Amino acid sequence: MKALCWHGRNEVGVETVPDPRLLNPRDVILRVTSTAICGSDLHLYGARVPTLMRGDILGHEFMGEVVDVGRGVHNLKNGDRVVVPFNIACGDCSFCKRGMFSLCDNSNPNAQLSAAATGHACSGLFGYTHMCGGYAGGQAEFVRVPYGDIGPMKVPDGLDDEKVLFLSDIFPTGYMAAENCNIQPEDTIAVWGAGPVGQFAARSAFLLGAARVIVIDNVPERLELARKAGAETICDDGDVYERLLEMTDGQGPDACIDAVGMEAHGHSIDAWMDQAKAALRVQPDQAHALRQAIRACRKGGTVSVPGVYIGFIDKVNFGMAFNKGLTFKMGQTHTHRYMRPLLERIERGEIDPSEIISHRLTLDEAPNGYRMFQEKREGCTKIVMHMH
Amino acid sequence: MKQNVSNTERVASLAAGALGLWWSKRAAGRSMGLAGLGMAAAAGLLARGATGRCGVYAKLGVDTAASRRRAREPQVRSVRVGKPLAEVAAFLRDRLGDRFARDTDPNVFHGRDDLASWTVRLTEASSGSGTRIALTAAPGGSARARWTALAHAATPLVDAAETELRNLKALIETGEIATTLGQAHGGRSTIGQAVLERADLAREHADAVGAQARLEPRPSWTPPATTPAYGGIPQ
Repeated sequence: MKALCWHGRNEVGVETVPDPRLLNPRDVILRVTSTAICGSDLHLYGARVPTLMRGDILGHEFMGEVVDVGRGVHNLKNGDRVVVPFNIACGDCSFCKRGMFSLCDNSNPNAQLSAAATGHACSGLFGYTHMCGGYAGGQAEFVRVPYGDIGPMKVPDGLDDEKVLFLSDIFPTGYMAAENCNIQPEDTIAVWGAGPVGQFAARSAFLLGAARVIVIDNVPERLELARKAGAETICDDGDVYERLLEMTDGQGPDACIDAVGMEAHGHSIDAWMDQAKAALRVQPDQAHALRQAIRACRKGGTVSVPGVYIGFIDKVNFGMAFNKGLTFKMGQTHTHRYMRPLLERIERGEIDPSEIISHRLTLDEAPNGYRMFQEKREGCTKIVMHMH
Repeated sequence: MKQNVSNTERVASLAAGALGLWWSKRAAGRSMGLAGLGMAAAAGLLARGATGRCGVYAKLGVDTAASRRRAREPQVRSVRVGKPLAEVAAFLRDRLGDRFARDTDPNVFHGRDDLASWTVRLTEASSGSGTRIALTAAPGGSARARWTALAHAATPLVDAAETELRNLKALIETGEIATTLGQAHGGRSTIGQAVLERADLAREHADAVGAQARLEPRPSWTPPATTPAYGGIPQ
């Protein structure tokens, strides 16, 4: 089969590799019909996340048709059309049973490596480094899905791939980020980053009853997309704090969502220092957006972090957060628990996830797609690859 | 004073001391004072290497030999499994009987391999429901295993104990052990391939344990008769 493999920093290529096969009783194999490039794939592309290796197959947003079923899977059969959550969860451990699927205890074959880095092992993820399990990803013609009886969700035939593909990651991720804000009817929510997760966070905040959503970014096309969803926007060309306070009568947003994560850029000394350290490979995480969110958030507000961070961050004013009594909510999305209710919202027409797609490519064009997405060229907000 | 310098450091001290002696001998032609200082430093390093004791470390409270001493002691690790104690005990007895021999206590099991002697002790979890599995691994078995444990400061033993516990937990809770062994990938670099082959040893072990205890399919379920549309991995 053809698969998109990581070849080194800022370099990916399509290779012919062996087809996947069932390795465990609860595995299923999918013929991938659609897959997408996620903003967090760019962290891998730029070699910012450790334990990625040359030859690893990338991709964690994908859907397809079941073509082989392990003998331990009883709820799927060949021909079923499914969308797959990006995190791999067993469904049986204490974390899965509490709905915290991204913290699954049993799905990471390299748990020791992960625990050494973070104290406790994270769950397995598709196509996202060996620390997160080393699983082959879904930017390929076929993919093996472990615990196929727990993750994949059947989708109705009437809905196009493009309507449901983002249930695999970015829609639930944006939604959980908004849910973590405990939104009340009159709340104003600020969202840093108008990339795909930021777009869904803004839309989800409205779905959950926010009165106002303010989106901060510096890419005009992305801000325009946020405005289409009803959000107000700030072009981050300097003093975001002043602008946010001005827009909220000096109060500050009730909750702030950092949908940027470790690759934040900015026009201040802290951002330049972060960029220098990242360039020197001293510290990959650039926390400029998080610093702004902590400073701007109103007293007693919530800072919700769906953006990915990998390791140490510095110059984060924890005293500021303490004295303002902020609540922090963060982590990988518990995708499994959001897929069904969000599918129902799509079916009811409350949201059309496909409206954020800017480019449709083939798998062979994916290397160019990565470059374009990284450089934010040609109005690129979201790339989907249709396989057939 | 007890040994407080690790063996690696002792070898380095001996090498540096020998180098110091050679340099001092050469320096003697130019300055006897410098040569004397060099000789004194070299002698100190040689003594440090030969005895494994360091006065400066003792004053600072540093002990780089501690991990080696600990390697001679049994390693204990534990994990919580979300199943009742009786069910976990039955699983170990019925499915992994070849690997773990029973004790007079029904909640204690013993095993032995090249690396270590293992004792598995089951108790109620410290809070909530579930079972605590405590694994004690004593370096033993062959002389080679004891040497391996000492040379690597018990790391292989700890790794093996933690892997064993994770595997047990996964098997009991999910019926299988997560694996990527044998999955597809693109071309690797030489170093990457070597690193992964080393890591695969642990996965092969997990696969072997998993195969032994794998749950049987439910009789009511029949695999689909249609041939998969994909070609499968080339053999």
